[in-house]
Amino acid sequence: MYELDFNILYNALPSIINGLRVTLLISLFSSFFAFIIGVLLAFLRNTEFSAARFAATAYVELVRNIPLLILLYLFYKGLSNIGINLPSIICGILALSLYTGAFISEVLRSGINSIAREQFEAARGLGLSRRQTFSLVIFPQAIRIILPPLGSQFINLIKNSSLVSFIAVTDLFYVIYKGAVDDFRIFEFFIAGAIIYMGLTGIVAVISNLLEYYLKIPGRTIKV
Amino acid sequence: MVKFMKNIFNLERVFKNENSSFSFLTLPLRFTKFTLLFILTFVVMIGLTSCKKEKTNQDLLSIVKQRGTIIAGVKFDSRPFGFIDADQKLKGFDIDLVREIAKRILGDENAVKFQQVTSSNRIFSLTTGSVDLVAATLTINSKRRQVIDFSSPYFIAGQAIMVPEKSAIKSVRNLNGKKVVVVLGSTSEKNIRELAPKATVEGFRTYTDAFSALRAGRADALTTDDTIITGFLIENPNFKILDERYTKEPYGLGFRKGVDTQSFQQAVNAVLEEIEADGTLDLLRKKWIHKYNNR
Amino acid sequence: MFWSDIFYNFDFLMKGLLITLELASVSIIGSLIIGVILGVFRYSRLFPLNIIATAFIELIRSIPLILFIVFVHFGLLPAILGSPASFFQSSCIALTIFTSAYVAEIIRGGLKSIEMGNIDAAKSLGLNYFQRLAYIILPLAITRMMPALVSQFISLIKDTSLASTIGLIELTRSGEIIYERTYHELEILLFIAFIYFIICYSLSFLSRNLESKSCYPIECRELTPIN
Repeated sequence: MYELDFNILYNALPSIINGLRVTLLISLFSSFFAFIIGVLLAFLRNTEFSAARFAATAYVELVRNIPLLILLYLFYKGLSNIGINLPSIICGILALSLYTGAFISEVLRSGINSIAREQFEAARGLGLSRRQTFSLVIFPQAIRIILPPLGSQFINLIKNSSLVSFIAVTDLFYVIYKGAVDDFRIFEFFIAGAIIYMGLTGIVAVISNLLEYYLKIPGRTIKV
Repeated sequence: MVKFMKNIFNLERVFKNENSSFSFLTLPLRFTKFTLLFILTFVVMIGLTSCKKEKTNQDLLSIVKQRGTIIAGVKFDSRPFGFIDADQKLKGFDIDLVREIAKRILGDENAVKFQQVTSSNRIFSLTTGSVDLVAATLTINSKRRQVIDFSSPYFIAGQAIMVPEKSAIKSVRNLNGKKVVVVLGSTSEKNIRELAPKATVEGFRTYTDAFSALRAGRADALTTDDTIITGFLIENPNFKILDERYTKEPYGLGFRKGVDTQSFQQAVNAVLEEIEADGTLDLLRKKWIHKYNNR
Repeated sequence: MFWSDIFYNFDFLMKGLLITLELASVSIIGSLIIGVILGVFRYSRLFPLNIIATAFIELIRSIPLILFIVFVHFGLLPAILGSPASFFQSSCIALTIFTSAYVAEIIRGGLKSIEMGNIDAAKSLGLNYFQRLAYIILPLAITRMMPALVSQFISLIKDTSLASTIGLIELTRSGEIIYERTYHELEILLFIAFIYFIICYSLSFLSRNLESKSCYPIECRELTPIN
């Protein structure tokens, strides 16, 4: 085990690629749904209906304060107790998107709220409708504030997707763990897995940095 | 809309302000962090694996005698070999076997410390030295022999399949196209892929996880050693075990490979011979494995 | 609903909770120490320190925690120590190192957020380095870092649940042991979620109170929703 033997990885390569495919699939679907849920929740938390606001706030606080593993087990094992057997991939995507959606809603909400209220009032004073103020004044400023934390939430989603391996989804971490256990070679498999995860998160980080760079308005700093 | 996008992304601004032939030079700077990481990982990993502490070559038997206890890795979830009963106590065949060994080597059957292992990490716990021996339904096979040493077999089980009582599955041939759960790290997983290549195999890390999946109806069958299945059947009567046994699984105690464990292995093997000869092992088998014919 | 399971096994669950809190507190203290050192390195202008800290932080932050915990427990610690690693030790070390990377980033962000104007004013008032540090820089930096730090530690408490996968008998695992025997997963999982919720929500509530007491009026305007 102390002599690194990377030939083992060649034999396991098809299953590693398969696992990577499943991880990417789960991450993409979950991030899509998480974003939708995040936008919805952020919207609900800023409406004037106090019932909707309360419900959204309660949901976000509930989901943010429990571990993702418990949420995943609740969907997988807890619902089985009642008799609802969701397939494991659906469970994984559901839990991941609900969890990350709550965090994304917080990011969106804080980004929008950090735009100075004067901007909104000035835009309304100029006669822009609500939709126009939002799309022409608030949104361009907010998107530059929101983008870095949003990127980091997507990175967190990719890393959290490794938890679905406990639900018998053959994602990357499942394949790595199985390979390490079957051949008793922990260093090779886990180093390979770490490199692949670094690659995935690195790509998202690079995309986020590029977007940040191209969106930057020179000379403009963020004033609270 | 296009104008909106253009305004947002300021692409024209970017390329107007910078000399366009040099703007691409800024890209490598953004990737520097990325490439730095890759280089660093390799360096760190290779560095870590090359630093191995020289293991003390003191004899394991003398260490055990000095310490006064045997640290044994056992299962906490595999009835009847190692399980936690309703009164929160650890019981089982393997537990009693290890206590017997402790009684005969150290003189006190309570001079044992039990650590939980699962099918996935029982080999690791040996190779890393977390435990002195492993008594956890460990099947002796040649692949494992390359990594650890085994004692002489103390029990012979067979791989079998467990299905719900009303299931239509009668043998392993019916499993093609169905979902089977196994436990990662056990021999059953590899075997079932050969026996039923078209079945979907889902692996869990513990037996209870796997059995919960079967119980919830997420899978059609569970395959593992028949002794463990019989243990589940005691508490869950609405499942049944199929009659066929597909492999012979001799259980042995596991030891870490090395010259320092040889005397410990010899001592344990001697005890195993003793208790086989004077009938203690048979008593243990009758106590824990009822309704099962020893082969 | 089988809530009786929880009543009968309440002491077992509370023992698990104790281990969770122990693990979390040791990891918090450890990660603060290592994180401050790393954060200062990251912020310094000496190139070697900066680059080592950057590489280390980016390395740790880009792998999933579960991978790191399993790797530390089965591969890293035994290779380094040459001897067994207990569940608590390896999950402790893994959590500490993992969180220290995030703490380092928070500290770097906090140090960076202090405008030069404050430091120039302090210098012009004649304060020396340590006086500046103690009276101007640290108070400002710590009040800005505090919410992010508390949020990171709440996240750490939630991440201790991952240590259950290598076998440490903390809150999640003790619940697992119970429902492995009784098969009443839903009730026990809800109860465990409830306990985590109480702990984390009260901590975040505390942090919000801290924030409102310590920030300057210009920084904590009422964030009214935009209607």
